[in-house]
Amino acid sequence: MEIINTELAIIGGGTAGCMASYEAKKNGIESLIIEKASTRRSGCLAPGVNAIYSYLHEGERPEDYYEFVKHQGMGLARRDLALSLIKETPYAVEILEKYGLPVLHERQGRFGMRIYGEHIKPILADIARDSTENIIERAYPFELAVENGEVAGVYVYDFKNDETFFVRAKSVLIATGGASGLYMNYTVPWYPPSNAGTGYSLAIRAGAEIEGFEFRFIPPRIKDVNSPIGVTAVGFRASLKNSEGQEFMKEKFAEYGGEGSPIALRAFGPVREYAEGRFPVYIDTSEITDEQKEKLLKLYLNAWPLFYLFINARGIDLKERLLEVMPCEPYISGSHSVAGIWINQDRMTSIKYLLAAGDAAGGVPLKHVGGALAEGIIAARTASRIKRANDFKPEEKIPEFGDYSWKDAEERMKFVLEHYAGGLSRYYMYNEQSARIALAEVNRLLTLKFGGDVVRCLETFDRLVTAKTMLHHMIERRETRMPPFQMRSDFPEWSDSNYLLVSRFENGEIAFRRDYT
Amino acid sequence: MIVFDLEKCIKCRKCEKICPTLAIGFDEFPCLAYPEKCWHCCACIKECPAEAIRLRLPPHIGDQRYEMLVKDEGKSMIFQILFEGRKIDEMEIQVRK
Repeated sequence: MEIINTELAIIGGGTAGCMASYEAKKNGIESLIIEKASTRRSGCLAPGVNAIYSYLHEGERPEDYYEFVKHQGMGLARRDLALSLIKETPYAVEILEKYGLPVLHERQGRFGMRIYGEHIKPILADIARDSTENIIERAYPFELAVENGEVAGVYVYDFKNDETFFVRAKSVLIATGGASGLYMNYTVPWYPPSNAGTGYSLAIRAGAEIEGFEFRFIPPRIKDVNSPIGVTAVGFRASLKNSEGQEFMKEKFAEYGGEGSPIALRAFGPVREYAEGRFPVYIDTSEITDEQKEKLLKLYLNAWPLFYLFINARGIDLKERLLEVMPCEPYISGSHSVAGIWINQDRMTSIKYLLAAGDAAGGVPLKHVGGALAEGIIAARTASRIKRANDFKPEEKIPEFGDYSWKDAEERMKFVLEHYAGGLSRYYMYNEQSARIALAEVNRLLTLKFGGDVVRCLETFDRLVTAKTMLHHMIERRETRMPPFQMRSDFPEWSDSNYLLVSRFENGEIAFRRDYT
Repeated sequence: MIVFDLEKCIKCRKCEKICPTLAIGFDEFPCLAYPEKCWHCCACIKECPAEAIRLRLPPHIGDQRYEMLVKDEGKSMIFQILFEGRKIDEMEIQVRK
């Protein structure tokens, strides 16, 4: 088996990964990127983005940002992580601007910087290409090598040539993004279908600690087209209304901040209006000016071009007809919820020399693109300080395949999670009994060996490993802490407990500890 | 959904390589091998050098006669809405300084 040696092995050539390669080079170490698709358009930023959130504008303090994310996480946010990341985002934006990203230097919401980010991913790919000669595309990392509590490298399946190779590194950075495709989707998914929870699965199987996996992310979106809503709600101050014309966020969630309520409640508000029959739910754009309408459309073209086709094909004039709003299926993603791999301030996981950044890492709600860029930078700096000899000898390893159709397993997983683990059709609610039914079925699916397209087999396995850990977390948290992200029918009272659940698999058993915030 | 114009397609396979979800296959011509994995992100449409790929709404969302085409003009991108193949609207955005 071929062995490739490097100093920093970056798993995932997305937002955090590309930025990490830049900072690695700047700090004098060599890096290598392993990417499943093509770095030019892979990951969450494939369609573009219209704002860099988690950006510290002049006159604001890092402490203000921490207070903001704590509010967004309904009290649950890691201070150490928030304070360290917010300091790096302006630096990251400066680099992107230098490479040609049009930055508008306008605020979007409190900690957002408006950009024309349609080309942000090709620009990040240019940055990565300038930073490392080693970008291995169309390859799937399937197992970490860990010896004596230290990561030694990663086994990678090259599906272009059907062979396995090993990347031996002084440190390994998980920058894979989060997990989409766990639950059934009623329309186009919001989060990229490419994100299969691979980073979580690698970390979980290696025995790394996982944080907050009971807090799924359920985004309120423009109904049917699943477009971002932040640009309209935050950027243009449009308010939510139910079918009776009531501004329900302002009226029913005043104590949490009304329209500025934490992100979970901005999903929960519409969910309750649906459940109680006051749908459709709308976002009111009728007050915007022609100039604002043009700008709004341009911002959508930069982030989610399907929206432009949608309003044309449905004959929607934003000033005449209101857009409908509905939350979609749940995801596990560290960019919008606290769920992810546990990391310390240096972005190192509980396994020595194993780093995590971006959506793969937990602890900060609403970290967004800015947080992913910043964490890639911080992780690369940590990597550059690591001095170690690594003469690990990899074994011959190949992923195991069988003949059970990955597609059949994937469909069964989505169906079971939808019905028993708080999918959209259950208005995101679950209880111990239902979650245990889902867990038993996920465990059964994990005993099967999948056959068919190898990438899909590996993705299905990674989704199942992610789902299993999520379900254990959902069962362990015996309260309703953050509806609808985590909401139990057997403990319906809203709790304001102040801990994050941290789990770890050891000899097949999951063990929990509580991290108090 | 994405649709391929096989008369315009130059078989360069760029769409297959660029697709972030590996949803596009190639067998003499490109095809959407995994429609359920298509994110509607438009990466293939933006990168196609022959303007041979167009975007449609998934059928449950809306009118299939409307399509979107994207032209890469270097520092800007032009998004066009077509109705039964005829251009009815377009918008240009700056993408690079």
